[in-house]
Amino acid sequence: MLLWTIFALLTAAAALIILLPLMRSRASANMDRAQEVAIYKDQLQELDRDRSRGLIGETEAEAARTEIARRLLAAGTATDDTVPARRSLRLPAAVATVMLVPFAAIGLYLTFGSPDLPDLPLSARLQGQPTDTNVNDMVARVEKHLETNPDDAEGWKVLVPFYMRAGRFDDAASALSKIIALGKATDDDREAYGEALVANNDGIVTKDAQAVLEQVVKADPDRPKARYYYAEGLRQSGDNAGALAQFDELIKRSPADAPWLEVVRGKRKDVLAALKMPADTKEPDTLPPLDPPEATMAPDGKGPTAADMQAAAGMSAQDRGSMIAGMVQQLADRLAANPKDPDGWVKLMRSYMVLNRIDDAKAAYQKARDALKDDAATLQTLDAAAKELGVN
Amino acid sequence: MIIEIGHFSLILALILALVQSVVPVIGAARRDNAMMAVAPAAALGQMLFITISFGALSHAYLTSDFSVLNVFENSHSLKPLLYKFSGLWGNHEGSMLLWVLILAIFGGAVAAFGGNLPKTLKANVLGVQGWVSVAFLLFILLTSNPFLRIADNPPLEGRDLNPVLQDPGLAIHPPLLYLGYVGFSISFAFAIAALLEGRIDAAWARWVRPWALAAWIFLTAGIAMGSYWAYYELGWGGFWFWDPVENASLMPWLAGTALLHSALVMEKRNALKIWTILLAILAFSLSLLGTFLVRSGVLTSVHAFASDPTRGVFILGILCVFIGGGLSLFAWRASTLQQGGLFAPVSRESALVMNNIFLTVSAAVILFGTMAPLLASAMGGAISVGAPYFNTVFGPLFGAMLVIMPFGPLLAWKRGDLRAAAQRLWAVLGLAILASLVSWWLTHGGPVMAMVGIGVAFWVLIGSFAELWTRARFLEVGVATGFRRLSGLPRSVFGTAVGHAGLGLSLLGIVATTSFQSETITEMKPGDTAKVGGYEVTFNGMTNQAGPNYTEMAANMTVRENGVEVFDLKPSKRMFTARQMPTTEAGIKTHGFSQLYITLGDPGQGADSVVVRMWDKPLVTLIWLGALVMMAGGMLSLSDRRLRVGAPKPARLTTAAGSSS
Amino acid sequence: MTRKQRRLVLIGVVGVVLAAAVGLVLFAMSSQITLFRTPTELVQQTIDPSQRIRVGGLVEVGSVVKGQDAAVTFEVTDTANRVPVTYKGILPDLFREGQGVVAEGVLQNGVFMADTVLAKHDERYMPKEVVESLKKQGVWREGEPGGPAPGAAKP
Repeated sequence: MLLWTIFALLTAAAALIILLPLMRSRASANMDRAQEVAIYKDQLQELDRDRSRGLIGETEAEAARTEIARRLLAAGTATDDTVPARRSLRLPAAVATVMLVPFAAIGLYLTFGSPDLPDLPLSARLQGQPTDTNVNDMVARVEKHLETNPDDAEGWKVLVPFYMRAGRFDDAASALSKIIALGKATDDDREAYGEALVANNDGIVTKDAQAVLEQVVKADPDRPKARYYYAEGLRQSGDNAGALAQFDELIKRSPADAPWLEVVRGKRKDVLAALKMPADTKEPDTLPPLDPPEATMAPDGKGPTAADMQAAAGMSAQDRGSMIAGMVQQLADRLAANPKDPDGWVKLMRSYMVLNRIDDAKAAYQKARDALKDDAATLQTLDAAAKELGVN
Repeated sequence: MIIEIGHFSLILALILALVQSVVPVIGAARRDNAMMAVAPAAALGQMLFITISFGALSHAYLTSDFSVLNVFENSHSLKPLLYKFSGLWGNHEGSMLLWVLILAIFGGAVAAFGGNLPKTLKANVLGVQGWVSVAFLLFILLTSNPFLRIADNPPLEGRDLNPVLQDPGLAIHPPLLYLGYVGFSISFAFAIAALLEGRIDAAWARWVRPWALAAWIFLTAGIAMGSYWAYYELGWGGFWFWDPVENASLMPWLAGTALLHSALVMEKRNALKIWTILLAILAFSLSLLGTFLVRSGVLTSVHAFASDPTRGVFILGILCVFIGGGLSLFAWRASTLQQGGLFAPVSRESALVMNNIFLTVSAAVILFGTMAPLLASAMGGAISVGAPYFNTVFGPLFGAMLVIMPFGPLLAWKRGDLRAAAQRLWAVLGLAILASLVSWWLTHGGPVMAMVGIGVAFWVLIGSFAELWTRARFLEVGVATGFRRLSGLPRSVFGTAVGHAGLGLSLLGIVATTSFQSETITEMKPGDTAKVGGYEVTFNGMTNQAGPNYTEMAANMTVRENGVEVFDLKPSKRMFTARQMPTTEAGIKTHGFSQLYITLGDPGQGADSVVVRMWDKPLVTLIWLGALVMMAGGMLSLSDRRLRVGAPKPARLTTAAGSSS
Repeated sequence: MTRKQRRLVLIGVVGVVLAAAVGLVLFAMSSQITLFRTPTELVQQTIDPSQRIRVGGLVEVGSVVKGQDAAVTFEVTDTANRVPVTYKGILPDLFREGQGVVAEGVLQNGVFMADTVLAKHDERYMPKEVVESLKKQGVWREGEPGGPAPGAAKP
């Protein structure tokens, strides 16, 4: 409400700024020639000074004097060129102003503005929570810890999602390469490594990236993201036939309603064109479609799909924010339906912590404890994880 | 809430600009006082609202409000406060907001201090200002809105922490440059207003010249600052790269310099009116063209921002409307303007015309060189036009202008005596040749072109004061009377001399640095000594230290001259941890007007060894000191009483002018 | 002199300066323009060894070799072909393997002798010519890492 009151005041001020001069009644202008006369007189005096300094010859000065005098005379005797009084446009102008200012301002503002959003200065946001849980501190703490313990693969794993989210792909790649060097990498990590390398090179699949991606695809054929980048790498290195085979394989392994198919088909078309094959070359059959509610999720329910991630990378930050929130929500929904999944709970808590939704993380922890209360061993790991994440 | 108030204020500013661009112009055509009076009110209001808007965005930057997309993308909570603030104009959207803020301030200044302008002229000038404002405010709101928000879960950390841009030089460089660019919008508005009215008052030139002069001073400062920043921050040791961005600032500078000189003729002699109008349009057009060609990412430049097709189209539209419209209006109305005063082929007017020809042709060849890659790529080729082209083409043209420059102030108005001027300059020529011979002897026989360059630099430098010397007549009337005579001269005479001398100084610095600098690239291990110029540089070893957000590897260098230790230098390489981005901090030591400049490269082959690049750059600081001197000349001219005789209150003025002579 | 004669003098002077300028431009354009070439073009075309060239592409991973006294060799690739480059001096801060680079110099006997090496100014910047040539090779995709526009990915 306060905001709209201020808007109203500002709008009124803007309208008044225009209306006041319009409303003040003043005689119609008669052209002010006095200033011009003053300037010509000053020019004459300056001419005399120049003459006395020898800046101009006597005959030339005389000629210039005549020129200026002629203009002076013309200015002095100029007829008052006031236009005969016509019907004043003041009133129409005033009315137009009164209409235009508020309506245009509000109209434009409603198009572009976000009246519901409060200011969110960082310090205030951080004050709302205990400082040791804010992401920067957490990352900084982990980074410090890793400086002295570079062999802690779990530590590096904590950092990766943060780096990816912050767009620090080079950092993500170097963290992942350390995890791989430590021999603690899962296929998830390798896939992420390939992705980080590609992202860090503005979409170019380098040799390193290609090697890792190939390894992932061989180890687990059902990784659409890895396979997509792998195929793309083949395409970029000129192996169009190989790329086509990989794209076809990817299509074959995807449900018919997988969201990434459109992108893959587009790429496949490029490859077909490069191979000089007809664009409608038949593609392999897909898997049967998943049920609608699940279709928005990744086929294995494991996380975002290749296309999701692609979309995320190209999206505006705002969209990306909501997409990430959406994915976390999906995970929460899945856990609500199937709560006996300790890994899922830990993942959810971590997600909430990274998104700085501390209360949600705490609630999730509570729910997880309820769901897993029969299993003492699991409960213990859960507590440990919660402690590590700083949930309680 | 503050953010949204800023956003709303920006919209209100657009609406005020809209009113300002229509109502006063109609009012001027109908001689309606009330409608014309809307112009200053709307201009001041617009300034107020854009200031609020700018303040709101600054607040968001200073408080790291990452719910604002623009702040998230271009700031970081770990940035030092100054760079949080300057980060506002380190990006496309924010810099456009700064652009309109400066535009509005200039508009407000005309509104506030334009009391002595003829009413219709003032209304039309502000009206045209309004058109420019509308175009750019629309551009901001529709394609580059800095107030867009992130609705859900705004991130807790921003993206940008580019260490190269964290530098005080870069914090003030863009505002200065913009003050220059946008300042020319005032002369543009005056030119268009004159064309609209179909007549030019005598007040016109007196009004345009101070604005053009102010814009020129800022632009000079901005260019010099940018050049110095690139010199010490990028670590390449160069002061000018003929990069499109640099050309974009040099072209309006050349056109603006031409405008200053032709406006002088117009103001004093009522000649060159049409040409001055054209230059006023050109100077602003080049400002627009340069800024936006680079902004839109059409040209390759290290300063380019991410390009966006909609922006490109919008920018193209703005360019077409203002440049095309301005020139068409000129073609249509110019013939209605009165003929100006007469002058002989040898006269001060002619000298100023020569200056104008050389300056505009120089600007044209730079424009051609800057656009050539674009033309070539349109025709399917790929070329890049670099320093060799610009040096070959710009050098002789500008050089020729410098050679004739000292003659100008010695020629009388309307009809000058070339022989008399030449006689006065014989002594200057002698001194210049002497200087060039001395430098030849000092450098043990340098290249011929360098001698010529030094000669020209001294010719300009000493020749600038020839007018003062002849006016004072020290030899005939004695020192005391001579100084009394000098003190009687108007300040603009000193302004001319100082301004021209500044150009000579810069030239001297450029010639000395490019011809006589010595450079050494070598790999050094601790204990090694390398020679550069007259110095022996010893590398003592590296120290590692940590800064607030970086770690630093600094080399300890001891510099000796003839075996005597003269000073220490610490060039370093910094690694900014957050971005894993290295920067090179050159070690620079100024001695006299020269500098010793050392940068570090990568580690060399051996243990502890490092690749080092060293320059001894004689007189290099003169390049920028010359620019400062030029600015001082501009300010002297600006303070000349003549430029204030626009007639604040006609009655009072005539008496004041009468009594002062 | 009449007004007309004065105007003729003026036009004459303008003509002379313009002619000189055009002459200079033509001279500079014929001898002092740098051509932009991709590694593939350098491999396929014969190039005059005196012609200044800019070559742009990616620094081949594993190709950077540092020699004595600040000399360095590396290869520039557009993924299809490679050109060896020699350079003496300090490489830019952001020169990295696998990243975009532009080298300026002359091609002699199949080796590119660079006197200037430019790298990305910051990590978001890629020389436009490099982008163009990579696009031609089909390596570059529009936009950021994501590739196609976000809308396209959603069914």
